[in-house]
Amino acid sequence: MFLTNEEEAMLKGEQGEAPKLAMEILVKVGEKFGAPRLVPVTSAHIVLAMYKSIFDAGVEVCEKFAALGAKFRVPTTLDPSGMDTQNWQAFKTPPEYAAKQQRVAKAYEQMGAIMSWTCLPHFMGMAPRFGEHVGWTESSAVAFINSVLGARSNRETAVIDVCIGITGRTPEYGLHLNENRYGTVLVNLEIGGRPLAAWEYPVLGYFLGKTLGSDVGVVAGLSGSPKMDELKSMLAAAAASGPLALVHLVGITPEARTAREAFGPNQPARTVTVTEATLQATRKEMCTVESAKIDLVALGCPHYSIAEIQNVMKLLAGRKIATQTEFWIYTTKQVRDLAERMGILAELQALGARIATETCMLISPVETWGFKTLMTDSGKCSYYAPMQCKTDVIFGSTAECVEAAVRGRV
Amino acid sequence: MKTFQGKGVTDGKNAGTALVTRQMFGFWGGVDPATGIIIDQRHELCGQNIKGKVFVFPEGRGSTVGAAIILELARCGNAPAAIINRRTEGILAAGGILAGKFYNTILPIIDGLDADPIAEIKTGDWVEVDASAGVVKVGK
Repeated sequence: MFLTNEEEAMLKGEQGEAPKLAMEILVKVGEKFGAPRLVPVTSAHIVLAMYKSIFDAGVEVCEKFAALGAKFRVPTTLDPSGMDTQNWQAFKTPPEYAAKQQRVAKAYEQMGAIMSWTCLPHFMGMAPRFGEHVGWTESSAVAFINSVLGARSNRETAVIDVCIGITGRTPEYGLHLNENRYGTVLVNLEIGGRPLAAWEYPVLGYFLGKTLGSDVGVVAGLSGSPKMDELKSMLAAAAASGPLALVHLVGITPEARTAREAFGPNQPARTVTVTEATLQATRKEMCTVESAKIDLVALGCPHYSIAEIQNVMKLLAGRKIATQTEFWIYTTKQVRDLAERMGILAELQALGARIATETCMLISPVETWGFKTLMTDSGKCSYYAPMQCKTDVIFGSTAECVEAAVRGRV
Repeated sequence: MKTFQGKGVTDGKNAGTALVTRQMFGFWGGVDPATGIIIDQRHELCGQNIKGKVFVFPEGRGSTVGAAIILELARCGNAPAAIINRRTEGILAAGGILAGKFYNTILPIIDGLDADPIAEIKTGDWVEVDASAGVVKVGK
């Protein structure tokens, strides 16, 4: 593998122990994937962040890098924390768990991370432009920046993300190269030319993820004008049910003004058709039960935007949440502060709802509450909730989630 | 005994009985690293244990935190003996490399065999994996 003089210097330890370790790991990964060289990246995003998912091994690795004196060379953001950062006690977080999370936070503070604690760094001022090379983890974010912004990132993984932040480099393979970005499978949306309803975006995403595998799909037939929040939800679901990192949405993805452009020199290896029946069957698959008392309605996977919170306020229309049901919205500290300034936070509290900050239902210890059934409008959450929250799950539209919260059941 | 040639994604040799699935597999939410037991209720192998097995699945899926789960499996001594994929993605490759770097755990990973591993290897088969040479031997 070709290395520049500066990269050689890092590998030899001339810039310290941390860049040496990081470079050794990146070179090894690069060699295994036949990368001819490393590519400079303008930012890194780190998923080695939440204690619930990284366990003690993750804490040890973070602290090892911090102890070696690691400093991030490019702007490096953090995925959500394993607990509400404003009030972890109120969400029944065990103290020994909180202590581990605080060790992770301390290590990253020492390394100069941007303490973003969100799965949406691209909605927090870190959006890469078309063609920009970055080294990100967080499956939903990687799928979004490749497919909507046309930026270039592989699905990097935990620890590798830290190495990328420290060196400002990543191996040049996969989606950094033009030839791997062209479409290979055609997906025809055949639902009579109508635009998708908001809740259908994550359903389509869920179907695409499990159907495409690591093939690059080209989706033709999306109509209307999908909102960024809808695309966010769709791509998060797609990257949960499969390994999807890039899907061309004809007319939306910068590299896919037409299907022909998205395929480049390729012919579609197969064609997948999505009908009304596909969407209905997929929605069913996303639920483990059809009807139940709802213990928790959990929204905000990925983190809710202020516009999504306003929509919930509108749907609630001043009605109270049922007494035996919890209603939690996960979002960033910035959006929480906006909601506070706008009086929404107080209004939500008065109705029995809560905003949980800088974490989410999948990576905080929700299982300590002993909930039986969780309802969500997130396709990603619907996939993972049985394992991560130890609950049954019902997927529904945001409006259906709000109605369930008010009635206490579906 | 059948022998197949593939491409080593990590280095090292190991052997064990096979655990084979046609379905994609993601480590986060897929396996409990404290036991090695598969916990993904949507997966056909739910309830099986990957510890010490030669784990054969077509490709990875889901969360990018996967390598951290592989590291924790290694830290707890519950890693599979080896992994064989049709196509190994970066998350798993990195997990294998990191398990060696941080926890001295050899996790040979091979992909791109000259035959379909999902068809050729059956659950319970004895499998030897030499990732350094890219060779898989099935049967005694």
